[in-house]
Amino acid sequence: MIENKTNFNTEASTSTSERKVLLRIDNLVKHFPIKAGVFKRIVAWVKAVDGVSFEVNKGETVGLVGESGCGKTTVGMTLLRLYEPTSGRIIVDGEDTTHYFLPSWKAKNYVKKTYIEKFKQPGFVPSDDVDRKYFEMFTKNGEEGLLDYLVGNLEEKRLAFRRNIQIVFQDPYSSLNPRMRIKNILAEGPLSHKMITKEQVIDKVGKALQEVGIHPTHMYRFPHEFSGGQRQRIGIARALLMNPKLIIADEAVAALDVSIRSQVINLMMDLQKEHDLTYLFISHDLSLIKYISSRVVVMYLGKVVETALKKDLFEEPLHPYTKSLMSAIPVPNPEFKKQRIILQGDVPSPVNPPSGCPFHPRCPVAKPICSKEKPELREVKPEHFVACHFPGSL
Amino acid sequence: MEKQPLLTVRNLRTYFYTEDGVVKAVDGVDFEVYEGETLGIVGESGSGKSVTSLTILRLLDPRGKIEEGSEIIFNGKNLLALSDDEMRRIRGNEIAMIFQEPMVALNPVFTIGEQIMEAILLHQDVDKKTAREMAIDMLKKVGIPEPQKRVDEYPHELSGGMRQRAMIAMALSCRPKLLIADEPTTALDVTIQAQILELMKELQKEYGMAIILITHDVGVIAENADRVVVMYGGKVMETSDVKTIFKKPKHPYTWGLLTSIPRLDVEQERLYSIPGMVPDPLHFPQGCRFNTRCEFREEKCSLEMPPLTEVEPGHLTRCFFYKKLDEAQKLLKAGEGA
Repeated sequence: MIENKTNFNTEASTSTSERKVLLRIDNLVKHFPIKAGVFKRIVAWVKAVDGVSFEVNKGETVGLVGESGCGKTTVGMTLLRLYEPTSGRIIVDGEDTTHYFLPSWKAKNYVKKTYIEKFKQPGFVPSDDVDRKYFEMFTKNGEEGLLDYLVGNLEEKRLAFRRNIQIVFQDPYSSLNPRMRIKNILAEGPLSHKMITKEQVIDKVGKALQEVGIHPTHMYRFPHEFSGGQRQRIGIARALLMNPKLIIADEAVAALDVSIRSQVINLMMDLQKEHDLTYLFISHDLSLIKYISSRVVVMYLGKVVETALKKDLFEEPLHPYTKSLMSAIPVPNPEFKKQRIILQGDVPSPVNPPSGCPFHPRCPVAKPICSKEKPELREVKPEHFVACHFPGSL
Repeated sequence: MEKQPLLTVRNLRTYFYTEDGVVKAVDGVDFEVYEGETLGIVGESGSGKSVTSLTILRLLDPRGKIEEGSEIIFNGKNLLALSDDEMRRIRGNEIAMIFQEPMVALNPVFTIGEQIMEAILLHQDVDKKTAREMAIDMLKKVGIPEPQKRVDEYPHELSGGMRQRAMIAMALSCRPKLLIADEPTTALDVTIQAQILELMKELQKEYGMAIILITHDVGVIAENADRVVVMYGGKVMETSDVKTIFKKPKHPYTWGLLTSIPRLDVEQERLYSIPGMVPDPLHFPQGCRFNTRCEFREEKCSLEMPPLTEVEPGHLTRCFFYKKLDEAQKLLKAGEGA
């Protein structure tokens, strides 16, 4: 028994050190209620995110791509806990953070339900790193010990979480408070987290602005005095000042003009190299994702349909949706001949997603089984996962 | 025999007189559109591409004025000399337009059918019953399922792609000779965009109309236009057929635009980025409008506006030093080979 445990331990430590998983999303679900009538009864659920799992390794850029309504923004928001997840786990740096923003009694319930009940079952064998770590703690320190570890000092944990994960929003016009000077917008986070003192504000803010290519003397200006591209740079500086482990960029360059977009994209890539940043880049633009990411997650109707290293995905897309999405993107080369797949119909509503594979009503190669059975996300090649009954058939 | 252009725009200048000063949104634009072709107009925000199209249809905001000396000749008629009444007979009939945001362009309190019928009843001598049938027919043509049912639905009952199809049905109901499409797919998802662009191509073949396709997306231009006009700061910077402009751009702005977009078809180490910002139309720089952001600038550029000159047959550029760009491109190509 003891031997077994040590075994688990070494296994866990080697696998984490090799891959250095910074963020793991495990079967994340977010359903929004639709309320109607005088009593606001819940009449239906919007299944915005319906069982999404993926990992983000340290130092890499993961591109989360999909069309409007596929749930990519909801994943980002839920990750940040701007929405509470309906179910699933959000694991940051090997720690489950799902319960961090719940009131402590709910957090306790969550831990009991997710871990302790499972651990108490006779013959339980942990299946992943986090379970293994907590199970070990459970056997060593008992239920109370584990609860204390996971639910104790919630406030501190929340603050650390907020520091570690930052976001750059899509719309540079509505994400900066129009009544605050740039200096105060940028200093607000670090000051309230006591990362800097009041005396350091001018120095730190100036440095951060310089880094994103804005003259430090502009810190006394208001947001309306800047162009869209500059505002987006300010948004990036705001995220940087918190020294985050992960930056979520939600359509961060979609609102910008072509000539300004490439400036901001290049800036973000330079900053990544300098500060060893990790990005989760959410976008509808597959060409941008191809340029910026090292790994790609393709979503459709609240589900991950395909995920792979960038090179594998673009060289050999295996899901019919990924392939049609690629063929739908106009290529700026009039002499480029490509296979054109034009999908029929619209994206179905996430209130009533189709049975079986969510893509089957639009899929050019759908077979009877596709409308009956949900395809699981499975690894068809090393690090290349596809949720399709007939991968590569299109 | 030389082909006669369907539409000729000469020295078009549209200025807006605002409290802050005169905004020279369109400042001396020339181009032609031939029958049956697609002319792509590409530019960033503030380049004047949308104002150009609104000027052709004379749909300007009251503060906007078309300056003396501008000419828009359509099918032998000078549109700027027509009375409002005569213009109304052309608008929606011979020249139709589709807009970027179909939810805003469609009237929310009338059904799709009523809105299509309005155009038909206005321009064609038919009764209501026939007009309704024609409307249903059009809806079928643009690929809207169950047109008999959809004809009585309101815009909010349709999805974005379906609304844009309804807009196209409305625009084409009078078989226009020229269709102006201002960012017709910008608000749509890529898979829906592909559907709409394909539909426009099919209908163009069937009806033989000319299209002015206005967009900021050079990919859309590459796949759909026959000839291209590149606009910047209210001026035409370069114009040519689509293959030439993508292969051998002769203006530093066009070249910058083409090299600063992420692409699916080639591997890119690092994107080029045009330095600086899109200029404010209230304060355009002296000389060439692009000179403040140009890598090939010389002193002359900030003093004089370069003329639009023909450098090869059908290929015009507004740059004094386009040869420098040629050399730079050659060097780049050689570098890639080595």
